[in-house]
Amino acid sequence: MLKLLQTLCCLDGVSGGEDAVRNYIRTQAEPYADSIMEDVMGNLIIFKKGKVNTGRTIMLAAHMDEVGLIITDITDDGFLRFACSGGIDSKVLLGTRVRVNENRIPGVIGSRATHLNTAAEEEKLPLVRDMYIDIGAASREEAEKLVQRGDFAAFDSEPRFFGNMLKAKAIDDRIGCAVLLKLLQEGPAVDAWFVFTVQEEQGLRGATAAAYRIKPDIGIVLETTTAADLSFVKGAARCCTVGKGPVMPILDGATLYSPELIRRAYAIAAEKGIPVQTKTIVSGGTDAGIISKTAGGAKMLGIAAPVRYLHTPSSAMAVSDVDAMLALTREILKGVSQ
Amino acid sequence: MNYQEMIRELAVPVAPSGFETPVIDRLETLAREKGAQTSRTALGNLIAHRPGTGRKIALVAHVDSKGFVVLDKGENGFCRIGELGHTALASVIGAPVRFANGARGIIGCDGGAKAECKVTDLFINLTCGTVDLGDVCVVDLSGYADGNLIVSPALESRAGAAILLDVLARTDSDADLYVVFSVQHELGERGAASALFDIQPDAVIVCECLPASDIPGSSIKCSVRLGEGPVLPVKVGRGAANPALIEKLEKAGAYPVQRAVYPDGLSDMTPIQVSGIGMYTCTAGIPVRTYGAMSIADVRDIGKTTELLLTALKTL
Repeated sequence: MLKLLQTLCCLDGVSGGEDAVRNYIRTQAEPYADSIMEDVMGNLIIFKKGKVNTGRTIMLAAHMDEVGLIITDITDDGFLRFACSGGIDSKVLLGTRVRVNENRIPGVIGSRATHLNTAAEEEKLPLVRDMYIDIGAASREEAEKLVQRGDFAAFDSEPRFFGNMLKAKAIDDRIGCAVLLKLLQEGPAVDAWFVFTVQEEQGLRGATAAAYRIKPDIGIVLETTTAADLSFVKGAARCCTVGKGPVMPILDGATLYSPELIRRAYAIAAEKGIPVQTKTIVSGGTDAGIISKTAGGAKMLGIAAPVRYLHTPSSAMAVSDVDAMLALTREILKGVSQ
Repeated sequence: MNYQEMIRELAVPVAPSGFETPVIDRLETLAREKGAQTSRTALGNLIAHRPGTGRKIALVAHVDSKGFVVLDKGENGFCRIGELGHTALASVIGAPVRFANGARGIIGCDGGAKAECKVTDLFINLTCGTVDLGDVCVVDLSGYADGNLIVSPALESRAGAAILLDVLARTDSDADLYVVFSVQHELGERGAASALFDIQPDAVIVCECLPASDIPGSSIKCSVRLGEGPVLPVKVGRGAANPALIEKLEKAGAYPVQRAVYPDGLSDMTPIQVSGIGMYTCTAGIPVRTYGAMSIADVRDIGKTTELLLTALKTL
């Protein structure tokens, strides 16, 4: 499971350019799938028969895309202008290594040297429009041989273990993809649709089309959520804590999760001795938001890994939460069959 | 129907956005007593069907009120909460709340009452009972009726529901009528988005309360007054009513109606219009003066809105 997660995090799949992730998952999933298709949007939609048919349509979803950059222009002197694709705090960008397009052209994000900053600028957050990607090209012509407008750039950050934690880029949402892939391979307890969605970070766009196709009765979204469990953050603002098990939120910015499913899921977790927690602030949104209200609507459950430094090159989660998330999802699917 | 009594009855269940089951249960019983066949959708919308040979018409009223959900049980009876629907938070500091399980408490704020606060600054000081993660509460105020005025908490949702119950009881049209009690309006019109997908009606009229402008310092730019009849909004937020439907409603009754435009705000008609392949949708609104947790409506407007819908069912 850990190895699979690392492999998935090493692939680049900025929203709209998920091909490498999809291709890998498809290769791994194909031998186990009862049906497999890619839709117009690029969602990978797999049906897998389980031990039981519940008579209800169950959709499991995780998104393949990650936050990253899109190249908007190339300057005369060979630097790449870019915009963020998905929500990225501009603070994390300066000095970050990136790799551009499918050829993984190495680059670094730069800006004016600090000695040119005015006193007022020192107080402000850096602006993305003042930054560029330096790929070492000496001229526009040289850069254009390697990169074109519209290419994506992903964080260039290898997975590393430290303490009881794993850091990597794109844990959001390769952890969800890893859990789904693993469950598919071991065979789920119930008939289910395994959906690897695209463009979540662009506004839940892939899931919109996928949910309309499947029209689930129950949707379970495997995700990540921000942990602000730092010493200077107190009380509910901590949101959730790494290492204390998957988060099953009651409410986030996009979804009111099914109270009935939550109650059952917490009971299952308690019975099986799997640690779980809720998030203590209402924030963020996942594919659940759109799945719940597409077509005739669906009851939703969210299972999310608590992750520090989400949407940065070094997002970090507890190793123990990886297995807990897989175990919890497996047991909940079993519970749905009863 | 005695609207004062019905609204008072419907305001009793603790049924904030997303947790509407207590009021939906009551509405289901009442709708069945009026001969309707009922069903519920995945998100908990209640559909009451009165079959007919005519056009397939849906009337929609949302039933959820604003409220709070416990996100952190905290310690010593001080729990942290999330909002179910946007409330002017400064207006609820110090307000009593009640939970479905009978627990009660008072809303407090870190650092004392202040004009600007975030929901993360608020807590509930439980005074009786215990609560669990995910338990929900509403501001606990009691309403009253005075002359033509109805003053009530949760009025904004329960008034529309009362009207639709009355329509269900009184209509003699041949329309194939679906009365839909929708959920999760305050969270962003979420229940209505999927409620009508399987019905695909020929026309939809949303019955919901809309803010009146006849209060001091109102931010509502068009004139909408209590006692001057149903409100027919051309636009609420992103949603624009079907112009032909508005015209039909304007001509349906002899009484005055109030055409209005609300550049901001929520209306169930917004997602319904684009549900499935799209639906002809408009709103027949009840003007209300809204003051945080309490609202005021004129019972004559409620009666006229019912009449308007009864006529519309025959003429659409």
